[in-house]
Amino acid sequence: MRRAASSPLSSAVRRGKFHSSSPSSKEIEVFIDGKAVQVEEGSAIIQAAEKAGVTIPRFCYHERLGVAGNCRMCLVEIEKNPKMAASCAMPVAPGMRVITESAKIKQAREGVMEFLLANHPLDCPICDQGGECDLQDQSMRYGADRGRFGEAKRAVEDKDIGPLVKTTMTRCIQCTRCVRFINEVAGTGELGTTGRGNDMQIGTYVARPLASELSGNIIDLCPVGALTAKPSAFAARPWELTSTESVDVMDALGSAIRVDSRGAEVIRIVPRTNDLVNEEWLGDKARFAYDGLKRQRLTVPLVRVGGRLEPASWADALQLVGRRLRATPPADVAAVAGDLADAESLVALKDLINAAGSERLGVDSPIGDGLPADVRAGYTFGATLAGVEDADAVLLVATNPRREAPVLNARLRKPYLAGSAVFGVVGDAADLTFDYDHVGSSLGAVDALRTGDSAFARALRAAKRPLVIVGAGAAEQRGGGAVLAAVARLAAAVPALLTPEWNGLCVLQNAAGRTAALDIGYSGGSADASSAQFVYLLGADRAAANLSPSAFVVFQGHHGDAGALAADVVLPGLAYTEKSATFVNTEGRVQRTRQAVAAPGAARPDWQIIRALSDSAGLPLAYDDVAALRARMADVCPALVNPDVLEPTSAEVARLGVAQMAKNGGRDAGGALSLSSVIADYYMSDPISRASRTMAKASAMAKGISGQQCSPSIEMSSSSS
Amino acid sequence: MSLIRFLNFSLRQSPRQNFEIFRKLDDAKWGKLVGVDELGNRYYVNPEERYGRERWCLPAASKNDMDASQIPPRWHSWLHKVTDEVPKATAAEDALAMHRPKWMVYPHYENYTGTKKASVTYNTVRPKISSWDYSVADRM
Repeated sequence: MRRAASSPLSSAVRRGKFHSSSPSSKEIEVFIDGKAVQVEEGSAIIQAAEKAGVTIPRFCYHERLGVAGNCRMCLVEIEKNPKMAASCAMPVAPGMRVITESAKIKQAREGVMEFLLANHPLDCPICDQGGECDLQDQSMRYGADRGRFGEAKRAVEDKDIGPLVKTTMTRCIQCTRCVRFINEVAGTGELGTTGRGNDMQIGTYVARPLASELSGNIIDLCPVGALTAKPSAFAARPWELTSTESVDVMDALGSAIRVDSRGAEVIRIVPRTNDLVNEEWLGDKARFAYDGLKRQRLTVPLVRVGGRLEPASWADALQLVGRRLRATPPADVAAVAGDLADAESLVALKDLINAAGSERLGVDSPIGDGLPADVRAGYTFGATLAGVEDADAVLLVATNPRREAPVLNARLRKPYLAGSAVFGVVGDAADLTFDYDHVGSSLGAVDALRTGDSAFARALRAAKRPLVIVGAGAAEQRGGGAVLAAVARLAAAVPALLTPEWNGLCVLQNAAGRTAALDIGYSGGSADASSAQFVYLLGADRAAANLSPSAFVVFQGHHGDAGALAADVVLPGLAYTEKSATFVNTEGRVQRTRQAVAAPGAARPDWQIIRALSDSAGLPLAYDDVAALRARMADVCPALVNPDVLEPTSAEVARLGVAQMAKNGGRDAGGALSLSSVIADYYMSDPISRASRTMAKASAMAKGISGQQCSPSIEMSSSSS
Repeated sequence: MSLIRFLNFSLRQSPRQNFEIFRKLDDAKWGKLVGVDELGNRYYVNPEERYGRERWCLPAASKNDMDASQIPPRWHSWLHKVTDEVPKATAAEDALAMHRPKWMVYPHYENYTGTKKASVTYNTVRPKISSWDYSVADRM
């Protein structure tokens, strides 16, 4: 193994620290422009200045990346120092007096800017970064009104680094933020620099696309227009866009996003900073699948007439569904909650189906045992997403976080880079961008960890903050209860897993709507929808493959996919950018999306469709507006109306969750139990991304990469000490 | 308005006609009826009037709906003394008399700009959102 498992808790990798080697919490006093400010020892001057409220111009420095110190834009004067210092790379010293504004500094920065602009093309009018460009902004202050550079400007050939990121390398100012991101955070390591001085170039030596699921973030990091978004190239100017702060639903993390729209179109999606969830990163699917929102949409109610779907009015469609719901015996009524269902419509649907006399409410999982839904600790991410940085031994069971939650994977890299954690994997030996022990591919490997003598087994048992991450997909397959039972047995053998201070038992969900469905009272399984005669699919596409041919199937959703193909009545609902709805992420954090664009065609908010249906079924629900519905949600699950609050789980409750996992031993699936990640293709995992052309290109590219290369940059380490 | 003019106005025509003229034209006008166009506008001539005001028109439309563009071009010419020839009863007869080809003859209509009947070109912008093609759907 790389390091001893008992290395101290590394908080150094958290945001805001200058060093990642020697954590220190000693505060020292420095003076920024005469203003006293207390900062942590070892911080850079630029961080002290931020704290003092002074923003120092910078290109290469980024607080979440390593320090490069190569742009020289952040030069400041230090009293009694003859030379100016780059404030991003100069640690503070006690009593240091820093001057951030002076004639000398201004002249120095103007010199830096003149050199940067010497080789920078003057193509701002056709550059997608125009209007949000750091170089443009800072040249307003430090740029000269004429150039003294008479020679020909340097020209650099554009690189093709895949279908997501467009390069215009002539604009590059070699800040190396993208290189540092790909190597440090994403961990795939394709980007690097070649050449020196004027000949320095950023590229993927030699001509290969980015394989990272986080590659889109280098677009945000690039301070100039060298890296821009290929799908939205030349589509809009930033000042034309209406920004809406929302939450992503492409994976179960609920990353904070900003939806930029113009009229009825989503033009781009960029991350917002949320240190507790996504820091400031966003997966490529969340960022680029938005073009799927414009294609394959359900815009009118459809009713199957003589084997074919025909457009119908809302009144006719709802009357038909209401009639059939009343005519079906309660025992034959079932509802299935899809991967992208919001909490409002889940509550409304549960109330409607319960009013019809049925309790058959399931989630859109493959037919199987499902997750136990009695205790929240049994299906949530106990350690919290930010908490994984504190772990010192991590076991991944039947999950590939790179595909299921790439932003979480980047977080898992932090303790890896700091050398403060060891990793083990039970399941497929995929490239996770960090070294790990491949403990085994079968469930027996989990049991072997309880008593085994391998280096990782010993490290896991000795760890102060062990972490076990179980993929929810594995538990949802037939016999998947055995996976949970094995994890529960392991939890009993590793007492440090559940202590009053630390809850290391984590279930990683792979669908944004799943945790809310389990919170509200849907069973973790598929509710035996295959035998029901009236099936209500709330955006559930997977369940459509296993329905009785005689069943009356209602599909409510936003995309024409497997569910709509199987349906007798299709009711068009809204996608996450079109409604203000509640989602619960895998740690149990309740978050709300906000409506960014208008509903397409005759589509209606999902909970309102169910409310209208309850009238035509003669079972009217007791709420007419969203406030009353949220009051009902508070009755069902009080956490659902407390957005952005995460209730901590006590160790006792977490143990109940373990007991529940152990109880659910599951049917014996024989040797058929699969411990592979349920998401086979990261870029094509839900109806939105399946309808997206950009994601289709990215998926094809990813397949090309995995076909070409056997081992990109990360070597799999097997247990060597 | 002089007393003589007002007396002339009130004594020569019926009070009902006077009311309509006064309401629509805000003036005391009288004269000999020359013709009526296809929209029902009535055209009068009064040689006693001051030069330039001899020919006048009583619109058929109500006070709120009347508009200068309701006058057909033939009658417009007559009103403005482009011609002294009084237009015929229908546009077709006029066209025949003036040797105009038939395709130039069409019923006069007013300018609809600003109303619901205004001409709007059809939309050539591609729809922003494309619907699912449900016609392919055969139950799986």
